[in-house]
Amino acid sequence: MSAVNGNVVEVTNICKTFKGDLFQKPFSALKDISFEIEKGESFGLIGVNGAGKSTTIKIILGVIFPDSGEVKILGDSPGALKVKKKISYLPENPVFYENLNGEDFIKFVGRLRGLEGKVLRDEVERWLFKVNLEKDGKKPLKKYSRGMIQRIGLAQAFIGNPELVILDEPLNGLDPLGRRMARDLIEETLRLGTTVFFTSHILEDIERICHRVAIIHSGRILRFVDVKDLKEGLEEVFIRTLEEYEESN
Amino acid sequence: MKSKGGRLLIVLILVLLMIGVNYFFDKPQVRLKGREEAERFRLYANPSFEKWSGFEFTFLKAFYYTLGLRVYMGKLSEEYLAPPPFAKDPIVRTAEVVTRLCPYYYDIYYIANGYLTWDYGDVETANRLLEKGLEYTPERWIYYLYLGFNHFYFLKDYEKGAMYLVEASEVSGKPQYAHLASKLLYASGRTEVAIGILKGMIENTRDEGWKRGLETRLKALEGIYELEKAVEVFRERFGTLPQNLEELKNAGIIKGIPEDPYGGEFYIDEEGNVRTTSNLTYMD
Amino acid sequence: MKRVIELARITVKQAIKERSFYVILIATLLAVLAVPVLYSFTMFEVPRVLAGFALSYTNFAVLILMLFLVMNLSQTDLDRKTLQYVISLPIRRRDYVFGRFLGFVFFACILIFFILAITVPFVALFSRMRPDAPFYIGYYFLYGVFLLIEVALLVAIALLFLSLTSRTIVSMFGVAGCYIVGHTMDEVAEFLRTGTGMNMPVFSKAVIQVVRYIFPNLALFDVKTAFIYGKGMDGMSLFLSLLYGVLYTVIVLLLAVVLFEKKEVY
Repeated sequence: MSAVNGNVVEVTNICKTFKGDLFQKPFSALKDISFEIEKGESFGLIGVNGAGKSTTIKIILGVIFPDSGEVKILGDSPGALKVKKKISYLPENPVFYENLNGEDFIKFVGRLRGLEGKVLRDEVERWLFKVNLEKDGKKPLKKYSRGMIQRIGLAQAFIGNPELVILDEPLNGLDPLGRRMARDLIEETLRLGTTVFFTSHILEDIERICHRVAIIHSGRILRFVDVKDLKEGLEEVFIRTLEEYEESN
Repeated sequence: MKSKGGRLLIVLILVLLMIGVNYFFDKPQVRLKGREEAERFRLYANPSFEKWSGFEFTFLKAFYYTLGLRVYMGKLSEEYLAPPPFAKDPIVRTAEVVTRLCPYYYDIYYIANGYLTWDYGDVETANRLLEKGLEYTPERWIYYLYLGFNHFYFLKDYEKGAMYLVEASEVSGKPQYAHLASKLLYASGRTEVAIGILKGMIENTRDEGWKRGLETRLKALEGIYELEKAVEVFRERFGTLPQNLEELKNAGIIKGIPEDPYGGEFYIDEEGNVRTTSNLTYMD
Repeated sequence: MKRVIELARITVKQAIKERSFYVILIATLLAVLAVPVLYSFTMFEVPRVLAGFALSYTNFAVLILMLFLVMNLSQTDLDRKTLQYVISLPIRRRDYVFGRFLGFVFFACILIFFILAITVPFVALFSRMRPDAPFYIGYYFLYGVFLLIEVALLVAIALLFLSLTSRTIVSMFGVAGCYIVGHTMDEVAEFLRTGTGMNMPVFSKAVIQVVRYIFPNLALFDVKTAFIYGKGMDGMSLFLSLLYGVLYTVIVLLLAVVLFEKKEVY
C-alpha cells in the first residue's frame, strides 16, 4: 500500500492499445509500463511526440483505461472521487470553458476542490495574483492569449493544495518571464511536500525542476535517470538512450 | 474607401442591390414557364404524410396551407368572375389536408363550405367536412347552421335542415334558429328562413371580404323574398299566378323589379316560384 | 449533489454567455411583429390562431436554440479535449452527466417562460380586439411545462449520444433522428390500425412495432392545439403524459451515466 511505502503513484505493467476508428489499424500506445512516484518527489516523463506521455497521464487520471496492468494513485484506483479530490491536472494546450471569465473559472475549480466562502475568495485572489492575472480576472477566457491561458491553467492546478499535481507540458506557450514564474511556482509547491508529475520536451526545464526522469519511447520506458546523479546533460542521455534503442531494434 | 463612412456606403449599396435583385426578379417570366394558373397550386401529399411530416408544427402548416388557398382563390378572382371549375380540386384537397393537420382550425371549414356549396354545388363534400368539424368541435353551432342551410337550400331536405337548425339553436342558445326551423316546414316561408340564416352567418363573420360576399347573397335573397310576397299578393287579388314580373309591376304591387346583384334576371317559373337566371353565382 | 449543482451552474453560465438571450429577445420581438399580420389573415377565432402561433414559435425557438447550445458545448468539450480536463476535476463522471443535464434543463426552463412571458401580452392584447374565442392563459403556460419535458428528454438523448460516440456530428444526427422518429411513430402506429395498415407485410409491421417501443413518443408532448382549443385533454392523460416523459428521461439519463462511466475520453 502506498500509505506504507509512501508511493503516490504506482503504475504496474500497463499496456494500452487504441483500436482506432473503422478502417484504422490498432495502435499500441503503451507496452508494459511500470514506474512509481514517491511522495514529495518531482517526477518527469520525457519523450518525443507520440511516445506515450499523454496516454500515460490520461490513464493516471482515469480518463481512459488500460488494457492490462494496474494503476494505484494514493492507494486507490484512478478516477475515484477520493483520488480526484487530491490531484490536479493541467492539460497540454488547455482549452477551458471559453466563455467563462478567469475568475469564475478558478472559483469553479476551487469550489470543486472543497473551498468555500471567504477562503475561496481569498485563494482565488491569491492565485490570480500569483500568475499575474489579477487584472484580467473579469475577462472571458476566449480573450486570453496563449500565455495567459497557460498561467490560468497553472493557477487552477495549484489552488486548493492538491497532493499530486500532474502537468502536461506546463511551460508551453509561456514567455521567459512566465516560464520563470511557472518554475518558481512548481518549486514552491514542492517545498510544501506536494508531489509533481510532469512531462516536457524542453529538457532544460526538466533538468532544473525534476528529481527523477523516465525516458519513454514507442510506448516503453527505456531508462530512469536520477537528475542529481547526472554527470552530463540530460539531452545527451536522452539522445543516447533513443539511439541505443533504435540500434537494438 | 478605408474610412468608416465609405464602408457604410458600400454596405448600403449592397443592401439596396439585394432589394433591387429581389424586385427585378419578381416577375412571372422568372417563375416556371408554361404552367397554367391552375397547375400552380401547391401539390399536397396525402393528408397523413402532411400530418407526420409536420412534426410539432402541424398548426403552422394548417394556417399556411389555408392562407395559400386563399391567396390562390384571390388571384383567380382577378381573372374569373366566378371561381373556375379547375379550382375545385385544390379546395377539396386543401380542406382534406388542413382538417387532418389541425381539425380544430376554423377558417378552412368556412372557406371550403362557401366555395363548395355556392360555386360548385358539391354540397355532399361540404357537409362531410362540416360533420368532421363537428366531431372535433361540437360547440361550434355555426356549423349546424351551415349544415341546416345546405340541407334545406341546396338539397331541399327540409326535415334534416330543420333538425340541424334546432341543433344550432340548442348549442348556441339562440331561439331564433328554432323559430326558423319551424318555418322551414312550410314551403312559403323558406326564403325567409334562408335570409334569417344568412343574417346569422353575416353576424358571425368578421372577415370583410367574406362578409361582403354574404351580403350580396342576402341582397339577392331579399329581392326574391320581396317578389315572392308580391306574387302571393297577386294570387290573392286575382286568383291566378302572374305570368311574369311585368304583370306585378303593371298591377301596381311592386314599384320596380329589383336587380339581381349577380347580374342575372329574376323570373317566375310555371309553378309561380321566383327564380333568377344567375342561380346566385356571378355570371360571365 | 454539491458537485452536480456546481456543474449545472457552470453550464447555465456558459449558456447565458453564449448571448442566447439577446438572440431570443430580438427574434421574439421580430416574431411579435408578425402578430398584426396574422391578425389580418385570420377570419375566425383570432385568439386561438395567435396563441397557436406564439406556442409554435416558442416550441421552434427553444428547440433550435437548445440543439445549438447542447451541440456547441458538447462539441467544444469533445473536440478541444475540455472533457478530459473536466472529468479529471474532483467530480464523479456521473456528476458531469447529471450536472450538464440539470444545467441545460434549468436554462431551457428560463428560456421557455421568458419567451412565453414576452409573447403573452401581445397575444392577450390582440385577442381582446376580436374576442371571438377564449384565450386560456393557464393552458398557455402549462404548455411550457410540456415543452420543458420534451426538451429535457432530448437533452438526455443528446447526453446519451455524447456517451456513445465522440463525434458531435453523429450525436447531432442521432438527436435529430430521435426527434423525427419520436414525432412520427404515433401517426405511423395509427396507420397500422387502419385497413391498409393491417394488410402490410408482417416484417414491416414488426419493424414498426420494435422502433415504436424503442424511441420516445414525443407526440404526447405536442399538446399545443389541444390546449389552444381547450380539447381532448383531461387531467389524467396530461398527468400520464408528463409521467411518461419524466420516466423516459430518467431512464435515458441513467443509461447515459452507465455508458459514460466506462467511456474512454480521448
